[in-house]
Amino acid sequence: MRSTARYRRTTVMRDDLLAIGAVLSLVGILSSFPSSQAQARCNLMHDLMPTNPSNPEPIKPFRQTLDFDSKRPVEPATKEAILNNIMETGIPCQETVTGDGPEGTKKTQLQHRQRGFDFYSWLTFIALNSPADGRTRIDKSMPNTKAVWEDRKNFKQLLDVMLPDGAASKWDDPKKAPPECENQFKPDTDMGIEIIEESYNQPFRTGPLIDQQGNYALFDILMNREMFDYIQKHKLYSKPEQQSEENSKLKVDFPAGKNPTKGEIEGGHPGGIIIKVSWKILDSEAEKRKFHTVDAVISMLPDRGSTQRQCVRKTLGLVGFHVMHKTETRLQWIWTSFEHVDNVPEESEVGKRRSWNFYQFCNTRACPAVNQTPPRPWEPKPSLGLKFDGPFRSQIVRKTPLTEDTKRMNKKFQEIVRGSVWENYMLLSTQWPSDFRCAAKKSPESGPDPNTDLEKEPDMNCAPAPTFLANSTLETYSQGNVPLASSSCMACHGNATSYQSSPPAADQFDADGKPKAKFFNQTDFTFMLEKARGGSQQ
Amino acid sequence: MKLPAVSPDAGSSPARRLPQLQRRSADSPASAQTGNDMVAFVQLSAALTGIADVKLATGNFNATPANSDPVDIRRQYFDWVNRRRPAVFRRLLQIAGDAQKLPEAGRAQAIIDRVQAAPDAKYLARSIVLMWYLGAWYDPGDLQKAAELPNHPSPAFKVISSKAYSQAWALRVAQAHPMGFSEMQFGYWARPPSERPVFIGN
Repeated sequence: MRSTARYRRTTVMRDDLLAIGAVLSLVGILSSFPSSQAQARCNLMHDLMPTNPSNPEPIKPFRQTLDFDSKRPVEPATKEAILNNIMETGIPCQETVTGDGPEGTKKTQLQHRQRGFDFYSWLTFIALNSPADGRTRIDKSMPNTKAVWEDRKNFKQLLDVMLPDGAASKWDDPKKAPPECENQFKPDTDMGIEIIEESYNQPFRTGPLIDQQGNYALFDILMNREMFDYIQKHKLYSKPEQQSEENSKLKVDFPAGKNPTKGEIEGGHPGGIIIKVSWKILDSEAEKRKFHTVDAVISMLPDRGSTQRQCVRKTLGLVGFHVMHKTETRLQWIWTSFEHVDNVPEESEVGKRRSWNFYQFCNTRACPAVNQTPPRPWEPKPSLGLKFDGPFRSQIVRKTPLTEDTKRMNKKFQEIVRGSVWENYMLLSTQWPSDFRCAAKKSPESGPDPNTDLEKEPDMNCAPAPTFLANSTLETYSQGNVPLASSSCMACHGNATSYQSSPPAADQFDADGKPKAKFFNQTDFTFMLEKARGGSQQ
Repeated sequence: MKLPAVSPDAGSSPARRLPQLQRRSADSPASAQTGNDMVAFVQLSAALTGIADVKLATGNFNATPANSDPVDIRRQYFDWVNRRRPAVFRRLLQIAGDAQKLPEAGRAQAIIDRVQAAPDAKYLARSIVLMWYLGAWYDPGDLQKAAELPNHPSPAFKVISSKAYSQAWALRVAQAHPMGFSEMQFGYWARPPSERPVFIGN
C-alpha cells in the first residue's frame, strides 16, 4: 500500500517534470544561457509543483518539486528537469513562495515559506554558477569553468563602475586591468582585482580573515546590468555627481525583478542583483580540486609612503557567495548566502579531528581563542604577497547552525550538481521580509517604478526572517543573535547611505519653517554607492 | 484535564477559529501549541493595550494563520504568563474567546469590562499590559499590593529577555523606538515621525 502510494507520487512527479521539460523544449530556447542583460525568460520553477510551466500556481493538493526524504535519491527525471530548466531560463526574476505545503508535513507557515525561499536561492545559485558558455550544464563543469556571474557580459565588478576619477562608463567597456597588472592580464580567463580595504577587511572594519595556510581571504562585489544602468542614469558612480543639487531630490530606488504576466512564459526582468564573494588563496594543486577556482591578477596596496603597486598572480577558490536580489514583492531584497562546506565547523563539530579552511582542530590548553580578529597591523604587506605577517591563523566557528530543513535541501541539490565542485557548496539560509503587506508597499507619493516606500515605520525591514544570518567568511566577526549587533542582512544594509546632500533650504521648508520635503540619502540597502570616486577625495 | 494539542496553524483565520474556543476547567493550563489559545491571547492583548493585533503579531496575523512571524514575541509572552499563572490566564483567554461573539465595534471594551469585573484576573491583565509595553514582568500579586496597600513600595520588575526589550511598545506608541534598537530608516531623526496609527495600527 505504502509503496504503491510512493510509486504513484514519484510517477506523477516524473510525469509533471517531463511535461515541464517538453513544454520548455517546444518553446525552443535552448541555444545559450540568457545573460542578465538580455534575459528574455524568467525561471518560474519553485518548491511546490506548478500546474504548468507558464503558471507558477502550485498544483493542489500541494506536492513538493523535490522529495526531501533523505533515504530516497533524487529522481533522474527531477534532476534533468531542474537543470535543463535552469539552462533554458536562468534565474528566477521573482520569488514564487507560499505558506502552503503538502498535507502531513507538520510545518508552520514560516517554515513553508522559508523552504520556498531556500529553493529559490538554490535555483539562483545554480543559474549564476552555471558555465558562462551557455552550452555546458553545471554538473559537467570543471573547477575553473567560468561561471555566468564571472562573465563580464553579465556582471561587472564594483571598481569597474566606480572609476578612480568618477567617470561614466558603458556596459560594454572592456575590462581594464590595474596598470601594474596589464602585462600579465589575460582578459578571457583572468579576474582582475584591485586591493582596497574592503577587499581584505570585514564589514565595519572588524578585521581580516586568515586561512589555515596563512593567506588573507579576499572579498569582491559585482552588480548586474539593471544595477549598472540605474547607477549610470543618475551618475551615482561619481561622488561630486551624488552631491549635485539634482541628486539631492533623488530617492535611490533600484529596479525590482518581476515575473512575466500570469499565464505567459516570455517577459519579466530580473531587477537589481548584487553579488558579494569571498575567495581563499589556493597554494596546492590538491586544494584546487575542491573549489570553484579562478586565476586572478591582484594589484596590491602600495608600501607606506609609496604609490607604487605590485601585481601578484594567484589561483583563488570560492569560499563564500552572497546574492542580493530586489523583487516587486520583496522590495527589501532577498538575501541568499552560500559557503564552501569545508569552511568552518558548527559549535557541535569542533571536536572532530579534521581541519577546515578557517579552523584547525585543537584540544590542548594552548588552543587559540575562536572568532578572534588577528593582531594588528591588518594591511597586507606587499613584500609578503597576501600572506599574513605572523603565525596567526583564524580559528572560526559557526555560531548559528543551519536548520535541519536547510540541511535536507542542501543534500538534495548537492546531489543534483554531483560530479562538479558545486557539490561542495551549501546554502546557509535566505533572509526575506516576512511581513508581506509591508514588503510590497509602494510610496504614497507618485514616483517611477518600483516606487518603493522607503519611509516605513517603525520597521522598514518588514520583519526579516530569519532574524539573523551570517556567512562565516563574509560576516565572520558579527555572528550571533544580539539585536542590532549580530549580523542581519537587512538590519545592517538598511543603514547604507550615499554622499547625497540635502536640498536647498527653500526646497526643504515652507515660509513658516515647517518641513515640506523629506531628504533621503539612504541607498536602498546597498553600500556600493559609498565607493563612488572623483572630486577632491579619490 | 489534558487538552488535545491542536496545530498552531489550524484553521485559516483567527476570526473563524475563535468561536470554537472550548470551555475548559478553570485550572486547565493554556497551550501556545493550541492555535485558538494563541489567537485569544493576541486578541486579549490587543484589547488591553490598544495596539492592533496585526502589530502585536507581525507576519500577516489576520490574513494567514499564526506562526508566520519570525520574531514571535507573543509566544514567549504566552509561555511566560502560562508558566506563572496558568489558571487565571486560562480565565483571561476564555473572556477574550467569549467576546468574539459580540459585534466587533464593542468587543475590545467588552473584554476590558469583563476583566475589570474579575478581581483575580485584572491584576494579571495589568501584568500583561506592562509586559507588552515595557518588555518586563511585574508580578500581579505585587501590582495588587501596590494598588491596595498604602505606602507599598513600587513593585519590582524583571526584563523578560533582550528580544522583549527590543519589542517593547512604550516608545513606539510615542512614535520612537527603544534605546539602542531601531528599525527605522537611516536619518529618521531629522524629520517628524509618521502618525501614531502607522506605529500601533489604531
